[in-house]
Amino acid sequence: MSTEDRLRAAVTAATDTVEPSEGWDNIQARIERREHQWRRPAVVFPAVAAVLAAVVLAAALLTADRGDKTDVITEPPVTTTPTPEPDPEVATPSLWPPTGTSQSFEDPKALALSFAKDFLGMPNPVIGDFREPGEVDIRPKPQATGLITTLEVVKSSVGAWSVTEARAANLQMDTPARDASLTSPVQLSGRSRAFEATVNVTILDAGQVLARGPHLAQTFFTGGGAGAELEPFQTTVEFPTPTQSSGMVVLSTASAEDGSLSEATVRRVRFLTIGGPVPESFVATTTDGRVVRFRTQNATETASVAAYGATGVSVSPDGSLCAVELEHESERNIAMVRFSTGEKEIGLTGSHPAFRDDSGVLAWVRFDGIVVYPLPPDGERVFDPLQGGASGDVRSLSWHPDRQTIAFERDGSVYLLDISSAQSLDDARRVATGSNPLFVGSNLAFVTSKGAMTVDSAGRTRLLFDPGITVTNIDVDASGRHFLLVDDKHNLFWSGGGVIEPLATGIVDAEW
Amino acid sequence: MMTVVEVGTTDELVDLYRDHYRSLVRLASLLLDDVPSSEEVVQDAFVRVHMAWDRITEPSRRLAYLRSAVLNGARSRMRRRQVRRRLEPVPDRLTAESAEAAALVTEDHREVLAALRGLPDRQRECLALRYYLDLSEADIAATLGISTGSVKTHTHRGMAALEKALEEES
Repeated sequence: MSTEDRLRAAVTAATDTVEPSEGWDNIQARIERREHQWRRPAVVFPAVAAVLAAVVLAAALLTADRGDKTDVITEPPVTTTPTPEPDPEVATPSLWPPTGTSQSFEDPKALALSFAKDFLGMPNPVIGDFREPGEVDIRPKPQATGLITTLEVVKSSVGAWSVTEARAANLQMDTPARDASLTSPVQLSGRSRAFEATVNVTILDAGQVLARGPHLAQTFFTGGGAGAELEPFQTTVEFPTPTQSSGMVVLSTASAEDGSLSEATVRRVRFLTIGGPVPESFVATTTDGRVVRFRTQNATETASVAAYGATGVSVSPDGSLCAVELEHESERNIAMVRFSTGEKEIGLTGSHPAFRDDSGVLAWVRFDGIVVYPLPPDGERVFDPLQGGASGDVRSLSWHPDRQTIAFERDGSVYLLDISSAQSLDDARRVATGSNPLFVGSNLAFVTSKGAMTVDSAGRTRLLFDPGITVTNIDVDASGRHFLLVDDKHNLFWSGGGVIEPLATGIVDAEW
Repeated sequence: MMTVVEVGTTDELVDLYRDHYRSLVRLASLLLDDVPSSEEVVQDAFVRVHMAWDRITEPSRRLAYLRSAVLNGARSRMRRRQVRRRLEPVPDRLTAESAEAAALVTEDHREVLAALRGLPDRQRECLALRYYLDLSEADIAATLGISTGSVKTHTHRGMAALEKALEEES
């Protein structure tokens, strides 16, 4: 026996005995802990946060000019042969096995059996033969010949099978489409034929199964009767805030005999409202010069104030007051608008207003620099105007939660300014090339040609999203999850758990 | 419709986990002979690849990065262990093998594995990647960040050294 054979045999024997325990939870917890560490320090320890902010600055400064090579781990110089661009359609996420488990199926029929029993909860399923290019039929029990659910299955590059969709002939779902992004309430439509005329609708968070709870939401509607033609249905389902960015919509019918599952259509969807509720409304300035409050759900107007030439907007954290930037014959002014009365209360000279999160303090750009005043601005100013260079090109102010640091954009770069120590605008520290700086928690996000990036406490840049649009204004809600984006064509988009969706047109600036 | 990269990361990471976690733990166990440590090293590597995600856009490079992080982790863990052993002698086996495992791994296997673990880092890693993961020379080179020529050399020398060690043993 050659040394090569002995080595191969020894390696095979030794590795075969190793059966690792489930590690995903650990990995996920550690990733979350890492992210948590730099996402929320300001809330817990202000002193630590200040130190951390300094670290952010130092690290970001160090790395700003070195592009993306900013990791502490040394990345090996990798020499790979060029690979073809991956086809995005191939990477269809699976319904089963659930992501994050080590469950893996090398045989499509074994996969179908597991899906039928463990996911759907069929008591005694019958599994049909595999059909090219990727289908397996299942029935709930041997005698139920008319109840066929067809599973769409795909094989990964490493030979593992997964279910991507399930379709029952009697339960056709037209909307939502696969991977559509949902918000609650969601409208379902399609055609159905059910023996008891009752079709159950279940919405699942990723990781949940139909066989047993918990489920995100469950309801039913009355569909077409047995034997008849498929009848169109339309129904609306409300569901609570999901915890995952994806999930499933399930239509199913149950046996009249024992209530067990008969057939089911299962479709993967995405959720736009992860991690917390989406703010109910947002305020935007429109191209026709109005300040409008919109309902987020369908972008309908709920209040509108005429403000000739309105460009930028900042909403006070309590939602009562809007600082609106008005442009008239190249002169910029700020008007304070109270939505409850529609009245413009205060006029200020300057532009780019930004409320601090305690509502009572406003920062904006004036001819003499960045100024910060408590409101109404007849009180004592928080600090002297920061001069230095022309302030006319300073824009997009954003407050750090520490209430001490302001991020702004100037000449295509993002700067951070500590107002407790800075003597002049020149004391601001340049952190990156980019525009529209925005604090997401204590993380700094900004827009670059590649999309929206963040800089974390270790100075690493990270792509938030690659919108494929030219972002001119951006805002994020208090949860740090839901973004409003305005592009250079005055289109408004929003983004939550996984996709960017168009919301309205004719918008100049928008804020939650 | 445009995908939000941040959210997509986790799904792809899950795919990497599902497809490679087990084999990577096994790879690490070849080098470390200790399953809990191997799991830790591999979990560590996953956290690292997640941190580096946005810089490595090509999926094939992510896997190479992941493998490389596993090897790096295993290597530093071994060094720490060697230092500790020098300072305070501990039993050679950190974990007792189960009876079942012991039955499957014969004395000859044990000798070969001990010899493998005694090789210099690069040689050991080249052999493990080739004989356990069946990687091509190009993929081994990508994982270790060296040229294919060096892979050939390390593999060749590793095999020769292994042969010699086994001869001396018998």
